[in-house]
Amino acid sequence: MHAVGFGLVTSAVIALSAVALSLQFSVSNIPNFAHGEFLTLGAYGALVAQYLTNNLFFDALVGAGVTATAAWAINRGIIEPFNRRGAKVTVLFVITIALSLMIQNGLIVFFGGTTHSLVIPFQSVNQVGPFLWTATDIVVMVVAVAIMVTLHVVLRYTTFGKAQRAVADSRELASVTGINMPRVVALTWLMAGGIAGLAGVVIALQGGTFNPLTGYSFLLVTFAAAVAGGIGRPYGAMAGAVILGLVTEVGGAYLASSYKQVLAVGILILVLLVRPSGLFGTRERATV
Amino acid sequence: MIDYLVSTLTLVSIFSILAIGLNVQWGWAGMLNLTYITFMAVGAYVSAGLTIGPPVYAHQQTYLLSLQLPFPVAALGGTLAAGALGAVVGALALRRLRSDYFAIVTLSMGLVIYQVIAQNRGIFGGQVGLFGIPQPFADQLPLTPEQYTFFYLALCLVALLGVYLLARHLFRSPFGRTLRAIRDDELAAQAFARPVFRFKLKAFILGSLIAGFGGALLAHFIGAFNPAGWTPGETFILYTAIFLGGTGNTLGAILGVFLFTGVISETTRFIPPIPGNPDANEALRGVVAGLIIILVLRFRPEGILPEPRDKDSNRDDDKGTTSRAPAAPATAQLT
Repeated sequence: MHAVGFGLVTSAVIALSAVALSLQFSVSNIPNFAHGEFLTLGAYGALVAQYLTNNLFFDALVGAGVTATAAWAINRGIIEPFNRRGAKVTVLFVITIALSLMIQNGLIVFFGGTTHSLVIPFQSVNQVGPFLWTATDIVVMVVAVAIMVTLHVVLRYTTFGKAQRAVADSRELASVTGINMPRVVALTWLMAGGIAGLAGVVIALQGGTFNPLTGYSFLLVTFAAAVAGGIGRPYGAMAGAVILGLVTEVGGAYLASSYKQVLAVGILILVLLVRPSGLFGTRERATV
Repeated sequence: MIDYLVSTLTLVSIFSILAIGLNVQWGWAGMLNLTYITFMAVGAYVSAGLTIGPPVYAHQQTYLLSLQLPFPVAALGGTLAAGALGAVVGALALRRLRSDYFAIVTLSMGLVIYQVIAQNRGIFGGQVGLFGIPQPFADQLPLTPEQYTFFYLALCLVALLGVYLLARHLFRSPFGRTLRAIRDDELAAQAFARPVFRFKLKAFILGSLIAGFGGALLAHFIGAFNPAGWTPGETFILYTAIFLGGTGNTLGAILGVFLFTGVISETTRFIPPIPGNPDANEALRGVVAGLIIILVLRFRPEGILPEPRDKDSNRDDDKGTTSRAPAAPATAQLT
């Protein structure tokens, strides 16, 4: 039962990360290999902010802001020029791999390869129903739910969200109906970057320590959740995250902890090979 | 200094072999294999395992195989083992996945294999790995250790020449032409009745075989092999070399390895270390690799040495040569 409790917390963390990846993918159509580094950037952004103030709320906002800016700039400065020249998806994917290498190693050059941690007030473990959760765990889950609800409202009830869904469904149709596509794509990178940065802060808080490779180690788990829920569908990503979180934590309770990631990756391989449209999907999007 | 040059050159020639194999998969066939280094590792482990004796710490580790076979047999075994893994991974992942998901599946499979080998002392020694891997032909040849390094360099250069000639031959063959046609336009190649999946699978296996062969040479050169020697990042280093030297061009792959691992990476060694940050120099190599990939793809996507294009643009005058390779027009016209 404790494992289920941990699983729910892990689900919340993965959900934040996977929703950001899925949102950005659905609108830009680029599987972002540097997504893991977005998470890491968020954690380091908060770390730097902590030199100014110990207000965790402010630090988390800085982490999200730094990552959102970075994501926006990457789209504007690197992805867009390639897009204008009609680069293939594979080439853009390779570009994100190169970005991942640069950010990850750049962070090692600046901050060193050792672990850091955010200072959080001492906390005890609380019994909530059948689960054992720390205050951080509860905050993490509340934040995740809040972000999901906000995202739902934006996607469903705002003009911008409508434009995002239109671009995700069909870029050609969206642009002939007068949607300013580059702007929608740019703002989506900003938004997804912000959520990813926040996810990174949450990972840092929940995991206790982090290093320049932390985000990268979440990349495949994030992909697994996004893919299990149907690639490019933010709602599916939430469901995928719950499955992934529970399976890895409950499974991890029986196996060696180093196999948690193997478990997640196994799900990823299976879903891609057997049901590429996702567990609940109808559209085939992962095939040629 | 001479020692340093000889060992660097040996590494460059082994990495050139690896780059040629990866170039077959990515440069010729457009398959983004993100765990190429795993196939190198399988070749290294199997070849080393076939030649090595029982482990020194037999109470803590076991080595599978441990057969004390001669090097040529072991290297062949390593090569074939990597090829067999390539056949399995390729058969599973190549059939219908979009290229980027194919890449993610390879990365995922690599991670599973990495964890299983690294966490189990009973397979190839776990994190500690194999050590005391015998030097090939060292018993038969009356050489001092210093002369032996020259001998091994020569052996690697001969191996590189062999792999290069094989790749050059295949590049011009109908097989190579068809692969490039598939890479440039899969639908067009299908319309010319080319079995796309089978060609891709063959190319994937060929690349894996070359990776395994390179891995065997590497393991016997270093004399020890463990999971730190094949982290996922190594694959990206090879990609950087290929992008830099010239995607699709076999000589370009060699040039890229020489420039990137031989010159650029080696110069980062001479940058004075930043106090308190021992990982910085190694990390700098990664930053430079990423930067090179982006700059090359932006400003010279074909790399330093572009892929040779068929010169027979006036095809009607070309008697007999194109009729044997009907896929070639697809390459020439549809790019």
